[in-house]
Amino acid sequence: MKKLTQQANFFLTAVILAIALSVMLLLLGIPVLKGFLPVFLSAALVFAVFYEKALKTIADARLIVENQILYIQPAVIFEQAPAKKAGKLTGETFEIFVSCFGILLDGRVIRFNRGKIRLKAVELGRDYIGLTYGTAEKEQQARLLCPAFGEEEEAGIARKFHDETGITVVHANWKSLTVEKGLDSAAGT
Amino acid sequence: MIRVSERKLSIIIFSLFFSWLIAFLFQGQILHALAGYHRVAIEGYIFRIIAAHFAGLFLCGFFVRTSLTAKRLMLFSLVVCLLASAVFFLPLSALWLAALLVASFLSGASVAAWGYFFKSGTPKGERLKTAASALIYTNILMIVLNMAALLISPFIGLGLAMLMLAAAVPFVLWLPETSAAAGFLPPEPDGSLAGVARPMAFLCLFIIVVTIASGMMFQAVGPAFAHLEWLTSWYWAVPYIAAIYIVKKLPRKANLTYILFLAIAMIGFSFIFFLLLDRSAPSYLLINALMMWAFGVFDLFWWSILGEMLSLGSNPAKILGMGLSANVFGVFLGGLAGLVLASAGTDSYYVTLLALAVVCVTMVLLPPLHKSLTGLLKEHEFLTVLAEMVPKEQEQLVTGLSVSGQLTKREREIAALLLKGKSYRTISAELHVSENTVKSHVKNIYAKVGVRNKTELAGLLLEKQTVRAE
Repeated sequence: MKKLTQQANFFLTAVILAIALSVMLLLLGIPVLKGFLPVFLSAALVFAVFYEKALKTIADARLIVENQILYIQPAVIFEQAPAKKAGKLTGETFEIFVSCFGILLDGRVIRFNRGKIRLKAVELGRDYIGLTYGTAEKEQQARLLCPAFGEEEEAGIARKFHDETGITVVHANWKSLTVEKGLDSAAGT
Repeated sequence: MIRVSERKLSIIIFSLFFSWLIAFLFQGQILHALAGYHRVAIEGYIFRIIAAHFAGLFLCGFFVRTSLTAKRLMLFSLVVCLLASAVFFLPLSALWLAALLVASFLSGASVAAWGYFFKSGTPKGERLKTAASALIYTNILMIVLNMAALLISPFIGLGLAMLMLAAAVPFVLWLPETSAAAGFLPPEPDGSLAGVARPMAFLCLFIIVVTIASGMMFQAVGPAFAHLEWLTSWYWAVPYIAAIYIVKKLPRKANLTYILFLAIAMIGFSFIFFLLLDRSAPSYLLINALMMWAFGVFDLFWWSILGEMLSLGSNPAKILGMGLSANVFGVFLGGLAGLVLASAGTDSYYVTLLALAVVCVTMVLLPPLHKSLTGLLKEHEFLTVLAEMVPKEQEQLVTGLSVSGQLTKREREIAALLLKGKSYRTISAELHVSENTVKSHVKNIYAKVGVRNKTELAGLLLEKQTVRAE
């Protein structure tokens, strides 16, 4: 979410800057520089469009977070503070949220169950969750590695998916994504 | 079961009472003729009459809450109005103003109270025809009264008008004291239903905008053709009656929206012709025909909408009173604007131009206003029908959608709350989710079921229920 917000702020700053420069050019009234006015205005327009898209992505991300079914934290990067700043840890967290409206992969949003893209299948393996989504013509699958689920946790996730999306989760408890990859490699040789 | 006789009774009472009102009290020809006879400037009283009438219409619903009270009020008003009319056989005195104000207030209240019998006497879906019949007979009687006042004597006209009032008394006595069961709806199940407030506000805005133009034009057209007294005493109502008659006879499925837009165009042309043509009789015939035809269409339109809205609330006097008070308010504003401009020495040419500008604004405003209004009323109508169902029935309706594989459990929950008329905010609070989540689920519901909004969803479910019942 942080990345998305930063992105949006960047575009907003760019828009404000472009508009400010345009206004300055108008006020200064220097004929030579007036030629840049359409350039700055066009830039403002382009950044405004990107800003609007970024806001939409943030709204989607917020929706995913508010309706999360599964939360995965695959990595945390933190700096070890020097002695005098002992006790203060700064770092970066990577988070994945899975909900009935899509997947939020740190700074990337995969949308489904909105518009034409529908969530079609959910598969729960020992250490992964696979989500198949797409339109009538095209399909995509996202497989997310995650810690193994307990029985109760699995049942809870399955129930939430069913209630929110109507999809019955396929349990593939004996299947592990890493084992699968190993078998695939063996077949290759 | 609705008794036919009650419907006819309500039409007769309205026609007799309202003909007295518009021929005499409410800027009527009889009042002007009497003022002319006594050499009195009646213009000073006109706005006070309108204001008192407005007050009666607006406030009635706050103190009349049953059909028995409505009936008693109507009887009392008839007697008081008869006495007030009798004052005008005497020369001008302070009694004139007092009589005018009291009669105006009570007549306004009586018209609003009549809403109880309009609702109970006519089934839903038929109220346009009842309103049309009432307005046609009223105007026919009004022409007779006006002609009597102008061609014979103002006192004969006044006497005949009082006869109308007196004739209404036995009919009012025959009215039932309790409304038929079909006329009332159960109280709303919870406070979250918007009630009639929103469609009412839209309708009142619609009425005020249109009648401002009419009020202004009466200030300009009336004086311009005052020299054609004989013609103006009766002809002005003929296109009005014809328009209402034709719209009444249209098939039920006819799209009144196109007729409304045609009516706006006709008003616009009437103003243009008023600017371009002379003040002869043929000019008057053309201008008046266009103008009054259009106003006939508008009057019937909002009378019929108000009539249908009577079923959406529990106090018909309040609904009818407020709706008609918007009409009176628009006439007041328009007349005031016209008068102010006239006293400022503004040419009637500019008054007409201003009125034309108002018509242009109306043309721009009306399509979205009308769309919102009919959409709201349809939604309201559907939601009221659903709200009347037993909860189990409601649940079955919504379950039907999910059984056919369409809705998930969460979507079903939200659909059920949506169909109870709850707002997104309320739904989000009840289900402990964000408003955005509710909106997203609602979009999915509409997409899966193949509808565009709540109105269509409710309509679809009710249709399915009817098919199942058959």
